[in-house]
Amino acid sequence: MRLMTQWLAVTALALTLGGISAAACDDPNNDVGARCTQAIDCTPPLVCSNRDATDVALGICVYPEALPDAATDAATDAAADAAADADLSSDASGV
Amino acid sequence: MLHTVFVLALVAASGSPDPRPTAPPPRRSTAPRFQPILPPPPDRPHPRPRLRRRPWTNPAASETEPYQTVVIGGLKPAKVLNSPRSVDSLGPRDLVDRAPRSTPDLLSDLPSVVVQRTNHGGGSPFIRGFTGQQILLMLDGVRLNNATTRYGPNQMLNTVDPHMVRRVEVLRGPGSLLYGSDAIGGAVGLWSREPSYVPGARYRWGGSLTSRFSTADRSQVYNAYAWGQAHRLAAGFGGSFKAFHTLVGGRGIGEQRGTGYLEGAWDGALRVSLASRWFLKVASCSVRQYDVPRTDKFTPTDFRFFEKQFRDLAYLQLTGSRGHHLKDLRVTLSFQSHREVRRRYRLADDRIEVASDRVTTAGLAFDGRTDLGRWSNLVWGGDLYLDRVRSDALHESISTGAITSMDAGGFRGQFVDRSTMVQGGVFLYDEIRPLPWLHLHAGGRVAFSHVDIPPDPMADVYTIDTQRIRNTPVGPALGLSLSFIPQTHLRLITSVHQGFRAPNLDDYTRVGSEGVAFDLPTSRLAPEKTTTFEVGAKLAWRWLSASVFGHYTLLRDFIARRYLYDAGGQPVVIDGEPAARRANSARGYLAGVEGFAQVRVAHGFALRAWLSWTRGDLELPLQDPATQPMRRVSPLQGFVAVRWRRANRYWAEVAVRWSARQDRLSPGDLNDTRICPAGPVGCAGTPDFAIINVAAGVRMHRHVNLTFRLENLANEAYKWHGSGVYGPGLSATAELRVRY
Repeated sequence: MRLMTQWLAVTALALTLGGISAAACDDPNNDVGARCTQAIDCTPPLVCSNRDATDVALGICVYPEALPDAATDAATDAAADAAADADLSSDASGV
Repeated sequence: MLHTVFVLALVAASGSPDPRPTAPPPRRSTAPRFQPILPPPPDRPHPRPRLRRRPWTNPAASETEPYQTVVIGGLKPAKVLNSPRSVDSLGPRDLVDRAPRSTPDLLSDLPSVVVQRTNHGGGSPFIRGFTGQQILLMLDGVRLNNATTRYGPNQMLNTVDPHMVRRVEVLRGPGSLLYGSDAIGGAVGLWSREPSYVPGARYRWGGSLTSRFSTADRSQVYNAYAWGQAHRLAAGFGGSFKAFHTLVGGRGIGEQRGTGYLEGAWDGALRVSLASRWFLKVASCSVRQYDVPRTDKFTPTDFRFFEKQFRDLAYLQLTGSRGHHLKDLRVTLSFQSHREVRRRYRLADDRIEVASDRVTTAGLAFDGRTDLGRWSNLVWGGDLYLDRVRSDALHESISTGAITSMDAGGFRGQFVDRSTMVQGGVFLYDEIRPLPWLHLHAGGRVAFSHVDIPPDPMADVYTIDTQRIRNTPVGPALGLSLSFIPQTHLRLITSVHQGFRAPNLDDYTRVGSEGVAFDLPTSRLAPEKTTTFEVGAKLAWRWLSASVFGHYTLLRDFIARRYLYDAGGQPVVIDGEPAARRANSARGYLAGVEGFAQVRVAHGFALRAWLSWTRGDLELPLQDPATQPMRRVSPLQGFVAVRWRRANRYWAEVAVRWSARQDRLSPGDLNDTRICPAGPVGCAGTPDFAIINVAAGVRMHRHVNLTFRLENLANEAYKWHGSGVYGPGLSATAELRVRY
């Protein structure tokens, strides 16, 4: 019984440490508000508020809706992706 | 291995162990201050043994039952049944069964308590229609409310790690007599875990590891705790790590932006037995929360974070008794630090507004009791708290990163820097039993508070006094409860209690946009005062326990926002919101009924239910309309649960928590986006809802507890009245606790 208790404690400790490591690496806020200079600095779907403009050095990571053009672009991209998917599925169904 | 390391550390801390066998030391009293069971009054048999003998008793009932011990509301350990106040208590077993995500979760199913959440990292208890500044929060008897406790709901309760809590007590109704300012609507007392101590034992150790996972916000919570005893010294240390992700609401809500955050917490306590029944305890606890979004103010172009929410508490506590004249003495010297850094991102203005506040609080409190014979038990005490506030702010350009300081930018922090507040008082409270069927509890407190606010650097802008503000209101708070005991199992109670809240630095000096107004400072305020009348009954008879209370509270000098108008009669608007100052401009009432019943059936089943209703109105002579509902008063609501427990190893529960629609709204509610997201026009208030939760637990092994919960089975989209975030949709939670 004592051995079982020790095994449980060690297993739980290992799981705890593993879980903490995994959780700590996964930022819950997706970097909203984090500093950026270009889009690749932000975790998708976030975009950089400066829209990679050369005359504006800094920005922050924001949702695409914060930038009307970016939202439009994102919607266009999504529509294009959907259309591409539709094409692929129609191709597949034709096979 | 772990045990060995821990024992070695303890041995090193307490000196070399003596290898020679020794006779056990003389037995010391095991009666720590708040440990149960009170001897039955000599004139009255204690009902518990009778209940234990009955076949219909079973362990399915929650620990929230009439025989639980409470300290709150009397400062002397008493059974819930015997307390003359409307009180509740959650013990260690309840806390494990609930597998809470946060400390506010612990209160969410208690009768007449609603936990409002402005954001996922918040959680402000509403008790009898009051919240925030009007509910006193305490941890181990130390006040958590401070000089900057904000108007309206706050997140203070969520800065206590639920893993360090071993007992929760709730007082409904005024507690100013015993606890001083802020306890108008009620008080919440949290008691932290203590290292296990057995008199006479040489070396002992133990601990626990806890993991919790939830699909609602993909959260992971871990806690580790270890304790040990070496002779007269006992110590315990623990820590938690928590990661909360995007919270998924019910049907049609989906993922809610601005809900995830990170948290770390740790606590430790060292307890030394000085002599028989005398203990010295040193304890500390801290919480670190990072990037907690303010969910109700989280639009794509204007969003806010509590970048840091840090709270630290350390205290030194002496407890002991000496004869009949000095019982349960407790002297506590405490130090607290509460730091908050807020960031507001405003894309349209190309600006990040950063504000930082830090409150340091030094406190001294003492209380005890003197037994004056069979019919009188005098409780006495006093407290003194000193708060000092540092407040800072800066603006940062989003596009250039340029920093604008307060001096250059013509703004200041949320509070006037270096403001201080001192508050305290002394009280006497007596329990008198002149007749076997009549118990009388009466007492009074003399309290004072003093604010000292340096000249406001923005006095010209806000058109307030340019002088230093000093204000020292002093006043009494009285209370009287009469308990009639026609039967052993029945208490009929009537009481009158006064409550008060001394205006704090948030009322005097706050500047900024918060909720529905742009707050401006003011220079003169008086304490809010209330008088509450209660009539109630408590019953604990065989298979039935029940309580019902009716309450009516008169509000005087109530501090409310007074909106400002220009010479043309138009509202003054600052930063897009109507400007307002606090003023003792309101009076009114708040009334309600709350009832609780628990029926214990055979075969381990128990049925538990409660219902509460509250209504309040304020008279504001200078506003239109002059009479309006109180803000954020919770609607009619209730709770029904069936619980089964077997042999203290297995349990299961099905519970329904429901709330009626609240469409009785004040003008402030109508302008609150948490209640009316689409604006005041056509706002129907907070919809009604009912959520079904299923929970089960098993003690698989002497050392292992597993709790499993399914929440919101119907996947209903629901929101507690006044909340800025929807509750979780259909989700599962599992908690594993291993004790060693």
